[in-house]
Formats: sequence, structure tokens, C-alpha cells
Amino acid sequence: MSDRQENERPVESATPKPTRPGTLRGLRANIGVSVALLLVIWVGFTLLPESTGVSFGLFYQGFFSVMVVTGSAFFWLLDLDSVPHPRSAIGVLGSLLLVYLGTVGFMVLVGVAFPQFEGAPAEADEPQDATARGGALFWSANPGCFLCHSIDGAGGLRAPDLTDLVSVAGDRVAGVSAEGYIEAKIRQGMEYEYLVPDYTPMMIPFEGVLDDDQISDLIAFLIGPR
Amino acid sequence: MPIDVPVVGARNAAWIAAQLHLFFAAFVLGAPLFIVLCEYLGAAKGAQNWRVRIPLAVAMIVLAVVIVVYAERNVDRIIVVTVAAVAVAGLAFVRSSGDARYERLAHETMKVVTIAYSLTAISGGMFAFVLMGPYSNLAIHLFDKFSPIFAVYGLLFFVETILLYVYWYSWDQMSNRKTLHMTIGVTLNVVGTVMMFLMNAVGAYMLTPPEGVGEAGLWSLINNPSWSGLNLHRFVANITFGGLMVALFAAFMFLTAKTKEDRAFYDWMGFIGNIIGVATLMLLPLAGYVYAKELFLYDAVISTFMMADKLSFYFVLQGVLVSMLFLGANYYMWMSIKRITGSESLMGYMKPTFLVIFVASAIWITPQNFLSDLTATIPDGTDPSDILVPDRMAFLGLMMAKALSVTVIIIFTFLTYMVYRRALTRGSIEWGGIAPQAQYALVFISAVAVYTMGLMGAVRELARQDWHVFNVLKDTTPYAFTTPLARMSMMVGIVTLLFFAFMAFIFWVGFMLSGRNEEMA
Repeated sequence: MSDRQENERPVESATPKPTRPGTLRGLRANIGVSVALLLVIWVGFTLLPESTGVSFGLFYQGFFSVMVVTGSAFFWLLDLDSVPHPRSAIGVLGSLLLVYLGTVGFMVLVGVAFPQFEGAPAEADEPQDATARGGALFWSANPGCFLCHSIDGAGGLRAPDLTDLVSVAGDRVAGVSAEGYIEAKIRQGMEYEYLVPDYTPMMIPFEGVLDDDQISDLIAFLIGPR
Repeated sequence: MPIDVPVVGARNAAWIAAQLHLFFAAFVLGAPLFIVLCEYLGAAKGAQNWRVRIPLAVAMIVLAVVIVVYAERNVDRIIVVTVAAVAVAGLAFVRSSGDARYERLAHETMKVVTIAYSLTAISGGMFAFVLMGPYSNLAIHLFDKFSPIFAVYGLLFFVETILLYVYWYSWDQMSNRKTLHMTIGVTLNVVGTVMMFLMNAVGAYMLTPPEGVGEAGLWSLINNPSWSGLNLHRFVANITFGGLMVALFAAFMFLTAKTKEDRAFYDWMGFIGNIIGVATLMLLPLAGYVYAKELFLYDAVISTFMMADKLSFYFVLQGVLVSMLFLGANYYMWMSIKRITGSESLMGYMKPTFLVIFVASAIWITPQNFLSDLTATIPDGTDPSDILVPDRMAFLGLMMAKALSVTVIIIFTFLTYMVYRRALTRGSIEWGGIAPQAQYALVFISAVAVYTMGLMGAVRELARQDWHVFNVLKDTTPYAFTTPLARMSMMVGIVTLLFFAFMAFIFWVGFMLSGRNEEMA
């Protein structure tokens, strides 16, 4: 008998016996946990007063629900002992194709279905006062200062709080006034000689992005009184 | 634009050709790195031969010190020290085992690489044609700046081709001259890596051209600010890609195996491919961080555009994909633990581990808001609280939370491997006895890896916004817009499907068709 013939023995002994996919008990437990989590998301969050600052809105509820359902399906998969081994070449090809198309299809679906919003640009009357114009600019989506900075507790956290900027700006660089510091910081961003400790330098230079009038308005707003 | 590509459009044609070329190139460059290593591991067990290893290690250290002294950037120093440390550790600890399975793994993978090599060249040619036609102004600009590089690249392509075919076709003839054969393999890898670095220089230049580009010398153009970061990231990612493609091949062969021995071998091969892929995958976030930091230091506009503006949702999708990769890799590992005799008591750790990884993944992919970009406003009639993360939960959208989540996922993946090691101390592996769904997990992981590579390639290209060469050469075609997430996900899906169709063709030609012919002979 040749080596090749010798090797071509049936392989049944090495193949785990196919068992029923998942246990009913495991499935029930998964469904129970999922329903409990969905109740927290759709009822618990709704009951929380908005003042708590932890009440998630509609699209976050939807997002977390998808996570729960996906997680539940995944944990059910973990309960599977063994799926049947395809018996023919066509079975192998079909099952591989199914897994492959399912995986790529899921990824495409995530990209296509992920919710994104964009409203029409605001066309409000331009305020006449420099402080008001600077405030409108600060809180607008473009340039979006508030996305990183905060004032009076509102705004982003990844850059310094600017509520009391006027009281510290004048002391940061020797010989540079508060107005001068703020203007230089806006124009040069993280390229400016002074960087606020404990924050990653990431602010882009706004020179050329904002015009001189807009920078003056922002300074007026940041210096206050607001 | 002077010429367009009918039906699909010039941009889509360039996109498909470029990504297909990169997928094949990643495989034919990444796989030989561990093919040679596996060939060595499979060679007859011998002495460690310190008379060769010590001088090599010393030479490596001296070379690293010289580069550290003369390097212009810290990132280069870090990369060189890391590579030298890995190489010296390899020289100190790695030795051939005499395990014939490594030799077979290397041999069969090299067969796949040899067929894939032709498709790499074909897709590269297609990409060049698209550049020379619809994007001729870019092609002329690049040839003007990098003509010596393209000349050297062409020359090295010949050398690479000769080495590859000599390495493959001399495998059996040189079975008694392994040192010489492996030397050819090492040379093949060195040439391949240099070729990749050369093309990386051109790609990196398009995103981060050096200052004063008009007067810049050739070395400044090559050694542009993001070249090192891209080299590091691609080098590691190629090994990941190669490992996962080996795992895919093993899964395919496992499910079609007709003998017990073959099934045991392909079970083992899938495991090794997955280990190589996942071990290097864990390094990729760090390499990505180094690369992104280089981009950030070059021009924060690029980083803001990527991470906070129009491409920010691409990174949410990246989070989804990398989470899926880790979930798949951990699932496969737990299936591997399950087939170790006496591992039943350890299986109790499986669900808690996945719970932690799943929660960390959920935090990673929770967006700060559902606004499409930095300038988007909340649509009329939409409650802001519906699409903005609540104030007290704002940390979920920040980098700190995301970085911690990734760290937790990596730590728990490592812990899963530790459980595997623990299981091995209690029992033995029944190779071939792994559950079939583990093989489907390998297919899943490979599909996600290819898709992720396509996504990140799109991010890198789109980061140039409407520039062919950032701030130097404007893209004036009608296609100079940032692709929305949905369209990008479909494009990458199409390229991924095409790549797998070609890989299936390669497996069929290499192992089904030729196997049948051998039987007939």
C-alpha cells in the first residue's frame, strides 16, 4: 500500500459528533438577559430625569439595542457545542460562501445603516455686538470651539475650560496681555509657545481659517463680560 | 478630466485596482517573512551555532547604534531599536525544531504565494494604467519627482521575481542545502521589504510632502514626515495579513481534507496562522498610533479631518471591525482550548472573558454624537438629546475611554492565550479534533481583516481631501469629494469580495486542480 493510500483513511474518529445547536436553557437565559437590558434601555433611561445628565436619547437607545441583540446572538453562538461538518465539496463551498458573504454583508450594512445627521446651515440674523457675534461663533458648528472647550459647564472636555480665561490669560506668557495671548493662541493653536499643561496639544492654527474680524469677535466674547 | 473609465468611473477603477494590488502585495510580502522562519523551524534540529549567531547579533546592534546616532527623528530611533531588539532576541532564542509540519506549512504557503505573485503584478499594472490615463497629471508629477525610485523599483522587481521563482522551484532540489535555500529566502524578503519601502515613500509623499517641495532633494522626498510611520505600520500589518491568509487557506483545506492526517495538519496550520496574525495584530494599534502622531505633527488639519470631522465615522466603523477581529480571534482560541483534553474546568472563564471584551467594544464604538461632520448642525425637528451623548456620559466619546477599551481588549486577548497555555499543562491537544465552527471563525477573521485594511486604506487616501499631493497638487477631477461612509463601505465590500474570489481561484488552482492532475499522472 502506498503512503498516499495509507493516509486516505476515513476521518470520522477525528470529527466531533454534531450536536444540537445550543441548548434551550442557554437560549432562554440569553433571551431573558436581553429583554432585561432592553427594558433598562427603553424604560429605565426614559424614566431618568434629564437633569441627571445620564439619560440617553433615541438614537443611542437604538444603538445600544443593536449591541444587546448582537451580543445576545454572539453569546448564543458560544453555547454551540459543534456544528455539522459539511459532507460534500459543494457543502464546504456553500458554507464558506455563506460565512464569507454574511461577514462582508454585515460590515457593508454597518457602514450603510449607521445613522448620521446634518441639518440645513443656520441663517440667523448676524448680531451687531462683537461679544454676541463671538459667542455665536464659539457655539456654532463651524469652527466648533465648543466641541473641545467648555464655558460655564457646557461644551467639550478635551480642551481647557475657558470660563475664567480672562483671569489667567494675562499671566501665561511674560509681557503678553490677556488679549494678546488669546489672539496668538487662536491664530497659532498648538504651534504657540505656551501649551496648557495636562492637555494634549491638538488645536489647529486658525490663522487663515477665521478672518481678522471673526478673531476679534471671539476675543471679545472670551474676555467678557458675557 | 481628459479620460474617464466607462461604467465604473476613473476614481472607482483606481480604487479597486489599487486596493486589490495592495491586498495581494501585502500577502506576497508578508507571508514569505514567516515562510522562511517556518522553513528554519522545520529544519533538522541542530546546535545553535553561536559562532554565527553572536557576530550577527553584534552586527545588528552596531547597525542599530549607527542609525540611532544619525537618525533625524525619534520615531526612527524607536523603530530601529525595536526591530534590533526583536532580531537579537530571535538570534538568542529561536532554534530549529525538526518538526516536519513547519516545513510543510512553509512549502504549501509558498505555493500559494507563487500563484498570488502573478495577480499582484497584474493588479499593479491595472493600477498604473488607470494612473497614466485619467490621472495623467498626477502620474507625470510623481514620475518627475521620483523617477530614480521608479527605475530602482523596476530593477528590484526583476530581482524579486528571479529570487521568488528560484526559492520556490529549488525547494526540493535544495532539501540537503537548507542554509543556502534559506539564504535565498532571506534575500527575497530583504528585496521585497526594500521595494515596499520605496513605494511607501511615494504614497507617504502624497499625504505629507516635505516643506519646500519644489527644491527638495530626492532623499527629502523619500524621507518625508510620514514615511517611517507608514513603513512600520505596513510591515507589521503585512505579517498580520499573511498570517490570517494562511489561516484562511488552512480552514479551506481542513474542511475539504479527506484524511485524518491532513485534517490534523490543517488544524495545526490554522492555529499557527491565527497566532501569527493575532500576535502581530496586537502591535498594530501601537504602530497606528505612531503613524497617526506623525500625521498630527505634520499638519493638525489632516488629523482633525480624520478623527473629528468628515472621516470620524470611518473610525467608528474601524472600532466595529477591530472589535469583530478580536472577538473572532478569541472565539477561535477558546475553540482551540476546548479540544485540549482536560480543559473542561477552564471553559468557565470563556463567557466572562467575552463579556468584558464585548462591553469594552461597545464603549469603543459609542460615538460622541450622530452628526455627520464638524460643521453639521442638528436638523430641524430633531431633539438634540437624541443624537448627542448626555453631558455626564461625555467621557464615552473621548479618546481616553476609547484607548482604555482597546487596552482592556488586548489584555483579555492575552489572558485567553494564558488560559490556553494553562490548559496545555493539564492535557494534550487533539489535532484535527477542533469543532468545524472554529474554521468558519478563521474565514470570518480573514474577511474582517481584509475589509479593515480596505477601510484604513480609504482613510489614508481620503485624508488628502481634494488634493492629489496635499497642498501641492490639486485634484481637479469631478471625483474630488470625500466619499460618504455608506459609499465607502460598499466599495470596500466589492474589493473584498473580488479579493476572496481570486484567493479561492488560487487555492483551487494550487491544491484542487494540481492535486487532481497529480492523481491522474
